[in-house]
Amino acid sequence: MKATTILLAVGMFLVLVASSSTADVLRVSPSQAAVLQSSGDGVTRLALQFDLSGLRSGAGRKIVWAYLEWTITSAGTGDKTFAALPITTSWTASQVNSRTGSVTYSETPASDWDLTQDEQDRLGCVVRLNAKDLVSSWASGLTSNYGLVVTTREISGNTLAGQLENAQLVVGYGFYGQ
Amino acid sequence: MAGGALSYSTVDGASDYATIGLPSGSTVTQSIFSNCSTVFSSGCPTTLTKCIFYNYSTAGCDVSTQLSDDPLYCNSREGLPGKYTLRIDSPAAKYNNTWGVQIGAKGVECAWGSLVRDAVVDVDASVFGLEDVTIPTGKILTVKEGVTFKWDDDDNSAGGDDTVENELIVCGKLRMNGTSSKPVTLTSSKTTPAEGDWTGVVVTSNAAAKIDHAMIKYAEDGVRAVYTADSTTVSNCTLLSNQLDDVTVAGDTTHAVSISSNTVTVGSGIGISVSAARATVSGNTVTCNSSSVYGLELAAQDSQMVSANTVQSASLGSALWVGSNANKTPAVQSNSFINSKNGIQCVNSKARIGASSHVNTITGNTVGVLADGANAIPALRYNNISSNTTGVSAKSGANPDMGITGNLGNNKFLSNSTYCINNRNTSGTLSAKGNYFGTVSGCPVPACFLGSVDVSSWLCTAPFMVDVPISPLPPNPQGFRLLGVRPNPAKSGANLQFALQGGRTDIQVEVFDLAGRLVRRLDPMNAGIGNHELFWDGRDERGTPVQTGVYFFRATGNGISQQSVKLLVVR
Repeated sequence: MKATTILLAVGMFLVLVASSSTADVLRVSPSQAAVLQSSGDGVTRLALQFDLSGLRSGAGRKIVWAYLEWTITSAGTGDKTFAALPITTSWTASQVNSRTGSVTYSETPASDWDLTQDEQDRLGCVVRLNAKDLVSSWASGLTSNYGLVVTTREISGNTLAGQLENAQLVVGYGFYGQ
Repeated sequence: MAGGALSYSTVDGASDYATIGLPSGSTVTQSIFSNCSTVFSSGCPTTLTKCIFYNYSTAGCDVSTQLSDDPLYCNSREGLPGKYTLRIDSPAAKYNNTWGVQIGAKGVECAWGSLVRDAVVDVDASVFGLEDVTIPTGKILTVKEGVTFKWDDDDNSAGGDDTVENELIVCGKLRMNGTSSKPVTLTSSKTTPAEGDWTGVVVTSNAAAKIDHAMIKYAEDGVRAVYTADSTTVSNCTLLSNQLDDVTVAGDTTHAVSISSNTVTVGSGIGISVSAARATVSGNTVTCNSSSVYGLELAAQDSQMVSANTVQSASLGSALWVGSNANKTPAVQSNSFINSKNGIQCVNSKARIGASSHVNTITGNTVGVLADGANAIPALRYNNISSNTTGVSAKSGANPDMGITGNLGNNKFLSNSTYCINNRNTSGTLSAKGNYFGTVSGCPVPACFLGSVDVSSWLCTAPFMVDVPISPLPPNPQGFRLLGVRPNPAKSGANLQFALQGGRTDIQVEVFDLAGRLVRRLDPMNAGIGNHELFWDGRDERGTPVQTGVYFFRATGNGISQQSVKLLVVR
C-alpha cells in the first residue's frame, strides 16, 4: 500500500454525477476526479470515484460484469498500457487540489488494459478496464468505495484528465435467488 | 347450434361481452365471470365445477372448488383486453380438451402465477406473460412449436429472483419443443423492446428444463440456471439482445448441463457463462460486438467440456474467458476463437486447451491466448495459433505450458504479426517445446518470441492436425458404454449398440460427418440396465439419405458421459 501526498492537482476538473440505467445496467460517470502529482517515475495517475447509489438493492444481487471505459483522443501513436488501482482511504478532489489531502491506494492493479498501435489503427482507441471484482467488493460492503486510480505511462496528466471526462463505469448486475 | 359445440369466448365486463345461450345438452365445467347469471341466459349451468373470477368476485358460482386465479387464464386487469375461452366438454369441438391440457388454443392470452396442473401450450399459441409464471415442483409445462410468449415489463407480483421484472420460473419441469421452422419465441411485449425488459427463463433447484429450438430475446439472462438444475439442456436456440448473459449456468456440482448448437448474438454482456461442474458447451456459434464482455465465460471445473464452438468478434473483450478456480482442468477442444481482443483469456486454472485430433483455431485476435496471473497455467496442445497480433502472451506471473519434454506442444504459430510468444513476466522462462513456427530454410531457431521462452525441440514441419469433433470421456456414473455399431460399413442404416450398468438414464445420440457438422440428432432413449440398440436410418435432419462417407456417432449417457464410434456409410 502506498500513501501519496498530493502537492498539486494538475488540470483539476470536476465531473458532475451522471448516471443512467436500463433495467439492470448502471452507467455512471465519475463523481469526483483529480490528477495526482507525478512521483517522478514517469507514471501518470488519476484518481476517480463513482457514486453507486443507483445500484438497485435486493437479496441475491450479483455483479455480472463491470468495467471502466473511455475513448482516447489525441493521445499520439504507440502502444499504451493502463491499470486500475483500488483507492483505500477517503479523499476529496478539493483537498487534493488544494494540497491539503492525499490519496492512498493499493499498488497491486485490479486490472490492466493493453492498447496496441495495431488496435488503435483497426478499432479506434477504447480503453476498458475490468472492474468486476472492485465493484463487487464495493457493492457487498466488503471494502469501501473510495474509487480507483488510473495509471499510464504514455499519456500526460492533463491529457488523461481530459479524456476521462467521458469515462463511464458500466455495471451489469442481476438478482439470483432469494 | 348443436349441443356441446359452443366455443364462444367472452367475459362479462369486457367490450365484446355477450349473453350466451347454452345449447341443449352442453356440459359446462369452467368459466370466467363476475356474475354467472349475466353470462348465461338460462342461468348458471349445474355442471359448472370451476370458476375463474373476474375481479375476484365469487358471485354466482356455486361450486365448492373455486379458483380465484387460474395461472394460465387471466382477466383484463391493467387495461388489457380480456378474451377468454369458455370451455365446454365436448369431443366434437376443436378446442374442447380436458381442463388444463391445452392452453392458448383459442382466446387465452395471458399467463401469470403458479401452475396448478401439468399443462401444454398448444402449437402457434400466443401468450402474454403478465407477471411471473412459475412451474412448481412436480408440475410439467410443455410448450409446443410456434408458441410466442411476450412478457410484460413490470412484475406486479414482486416475486421471483427479480422482483421488478417478470420471469418464467422453473421449479418443476419445462419442455420447450420448438422446431427449426417453428421455434418457440420468448420476448418482450414492448413496441420498442430493449435488453432487460424481462428477466428470462429461471431454472431453480432440482428443476429440469429442456429448451430446444427457441428464440429468446430482450431478457436480462435468456436462460438462467442458478442452482442445481437437473439435466438442463439448451439446444438449437437463438439468443439475442439479452442484457447480462444469454445463458448462464452456475452453482451445480451434480447434474449434467448441456448447452449445444445454439446461435448467440451477444449484446452488452456475456454470451454463455458456465460455472457448473458438469457442463458441456458444444457446437454453439457466438457472435459478439464492441459492447460485449465475453463470448464464453468459464469458471473452471475439472469435468467441463467446451468443444466445437465458434466464438468471434469480441473486439473489446475475450472470446473465451477462463478463470475463478486454480488447478481446475476444463477441456477446451475443437473450437474457433477469432477476431477478438483476446481469443482466450486465462486468469486462473490449468485449462487443457487443445488435444491431438481436437484442434482449436485461434486467429485474428489482438492476443491469441492471454495468460494473466500466477494461477494462469493453461496447457496448450495442438492449437493453430495464427494470424494474431501476438500469439501467446503471459504476464503477472502466468506460466502457460506450451510444451514440455515428453509432452511437446505441437502447436502451430504462423503469421502472428508482432510475436508468436511474448513472455512479459519479470522473471522465469516459459516452456514452449516442440511447436511449429513456420518453414524456414535450414529450420533455424525461431525468432518470433520476446522474453525468456524455451522453444527447444521446435518442429521443422507442421504437426499433423485433424479435428475430430468427438469429446473424450467424462465421468460415467451410470456405467454407460458403447459396444459398437452394426452393420459397419452400412448401406441404409445401422444400429448403435450400448450397455448400461447403472440405473435408468437418458441416452442422446448425435451423428456428425467427417467435417464435424451435425448431421442428425436421434430421438433420445430412456434406458435401464442391460444392452440396448438405437437405430439410425442413414438420413439427415431433413430426411435426406446421407452420402457415402465416414460418420461419427456421439452418444451421451445421463447428459454427461460422452463416447463415440465411427461408421462408414456406403451407398
